[in-house]
Amino acid sequence: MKTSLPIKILNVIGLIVVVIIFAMPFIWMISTSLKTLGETMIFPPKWLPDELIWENFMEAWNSGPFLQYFINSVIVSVGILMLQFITVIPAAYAFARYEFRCKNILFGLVMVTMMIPAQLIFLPVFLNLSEWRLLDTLWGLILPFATSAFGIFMLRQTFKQVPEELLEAARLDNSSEFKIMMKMMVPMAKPTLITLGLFNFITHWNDYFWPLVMTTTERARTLPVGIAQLRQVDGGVAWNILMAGNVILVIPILITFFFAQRQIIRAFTYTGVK
Amino acid sequence: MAKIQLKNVSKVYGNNKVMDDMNLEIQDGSFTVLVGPSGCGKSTTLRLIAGLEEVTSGEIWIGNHLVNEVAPGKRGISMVFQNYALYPTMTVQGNIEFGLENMKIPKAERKKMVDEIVEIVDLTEYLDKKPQNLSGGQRQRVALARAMVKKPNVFIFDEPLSNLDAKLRGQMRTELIQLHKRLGTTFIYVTHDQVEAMSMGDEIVILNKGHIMQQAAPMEVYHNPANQFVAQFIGTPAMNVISIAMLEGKLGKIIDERIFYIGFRPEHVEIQTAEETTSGIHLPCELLTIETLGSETLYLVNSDAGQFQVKSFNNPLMNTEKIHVTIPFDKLYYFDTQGNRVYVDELPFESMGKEVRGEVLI
Repeated sequence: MKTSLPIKILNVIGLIVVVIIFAMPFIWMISTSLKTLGETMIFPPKWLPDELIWENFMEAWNSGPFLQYFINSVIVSVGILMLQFITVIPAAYAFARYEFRCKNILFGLVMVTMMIPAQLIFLPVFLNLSEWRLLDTLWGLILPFATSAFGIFMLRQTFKQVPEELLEAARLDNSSEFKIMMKMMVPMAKPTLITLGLFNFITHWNDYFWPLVMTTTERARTLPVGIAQLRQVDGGVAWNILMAGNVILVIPILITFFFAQRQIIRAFTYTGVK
Repeated sequence: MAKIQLKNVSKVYGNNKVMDDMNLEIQDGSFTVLVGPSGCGKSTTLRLIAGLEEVTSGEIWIGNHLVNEVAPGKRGISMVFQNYALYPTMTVQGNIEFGLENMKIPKAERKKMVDEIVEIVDLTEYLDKKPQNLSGGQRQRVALARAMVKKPNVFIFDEPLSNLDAKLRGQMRTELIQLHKRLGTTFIYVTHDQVEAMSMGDEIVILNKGHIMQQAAPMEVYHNPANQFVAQFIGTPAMNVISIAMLEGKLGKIIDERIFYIGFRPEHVEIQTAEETTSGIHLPCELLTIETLGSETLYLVNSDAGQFQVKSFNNPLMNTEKIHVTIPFDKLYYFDTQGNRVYVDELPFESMGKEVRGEVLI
């Protein structure tokens, strides 16, 4: 079907509007991160700084133990990612492919955990972790997210789409169940796994609330908490420094997203091989 | 190589009994075809032998081993699936090699075995391709290679040709027959297509509703069906079966009281072109439809005894409305009320006396 010209134009305009809405804050952040403090305050606001002040980044980076924060963030995000894959893949495979007692009830329980507001859970989890003396440690940031109901759900759907014949063929080829899972299921679910991993990574890389609650010293603080602290410098807020910190925070996500975007699109269009 | 035996095997899904107390023996080295309409239990039988389903009761023997508790991969069976079931994330080589890998065969030896097989199925140049980049026929050959490379005792085929076009299917049929001759391994082949069954098998097992209707060689099944179901399942078009009551007045007095139905194959019906010579049932008929298939012609006719089909190898009768047909007595099959074959030594009814018709219609 061919769309007529006016509709095409409307489409393009609509897209431009959406892009502006999404991109504006981003562009504003980058532009601010390169301004002088004075430029951030003037009215009407300036879109482009007269001079690019790259030193803002150095200043942000040096205004706290940012290397420590960065390493903490990497350990926490990657740790959560790995633990989730370890727990989510077998659980999803079992829910998708096995018959066992109480399977539906158990799966229902997993689903219910998605419906409980996080705020309700934070306090008991906090108390639990404090009893285990895990406050202000990286483990305290990783363990509460060691599995993901959403991940189990999404991966189970993907696993369910794999034709039963394939598994039967593998069983006749004398393959162990573990090997079926790792060599058949996981490669076929690659787009889903990458999407899950990415959502996961972004969520926990950006997570502010839990690290803030859990940490009391620099030892276990992550980047978002560290950057939020930039606001408290000198009483007033140095917006250019703060934004420079935010750019530093966002760069790893941008890089990952850049490499994973094709897989994400595939995850939603994947139909399997006929 | 191994003989396969099913002893008193039953299979129940929920409340649905798909197989009841089946006894089946498949000879070592035979090409046995399981055939029947959908839902007859042929695929279930296959899956039970392969170990993909567990029996509810009964025993399955492969060779001298009771395999009820043996995992599918350890039964010495290779299976070719209807949709090939190739591993989409692996190359052709990976697909063929996967089973060997699990058998812990060293890499060098694996490579040799794979090379040998792909040579046979003519896939050497496709070793590094993924299955999705192959044509239907090529995928089929990969599936075959994957089955062959393990050198199994038994090959199992689950409607492997149903996804191919007619020409390729014919070709693969011949190739499979040759393959069986060369390997001499037991082949078990499931199909719903009776042409495939007749042309490929040296033994046919006809199943219906979880019961074996007949197990015999193809020509035996055709010429000597054990019951009405087999008679009507094998042969195209199906055997005509008419209730004996419909033939009242056309036959003499029925001597054998067991007989309830009379059957005859469309190709045995003679269209009268000259004075009657064969002794048989004579029926004046009205032509309803004509299907010309080139070498043969199918007619659907209506007579006092009801509608039935006639197959003729003569030129089609295009401008005729009424014909006379003769159904030879020696080509009649008799069935009882249950549809079981009634075997008779001589005509089970009194002959009406040979009457010679002077009437010539064509």
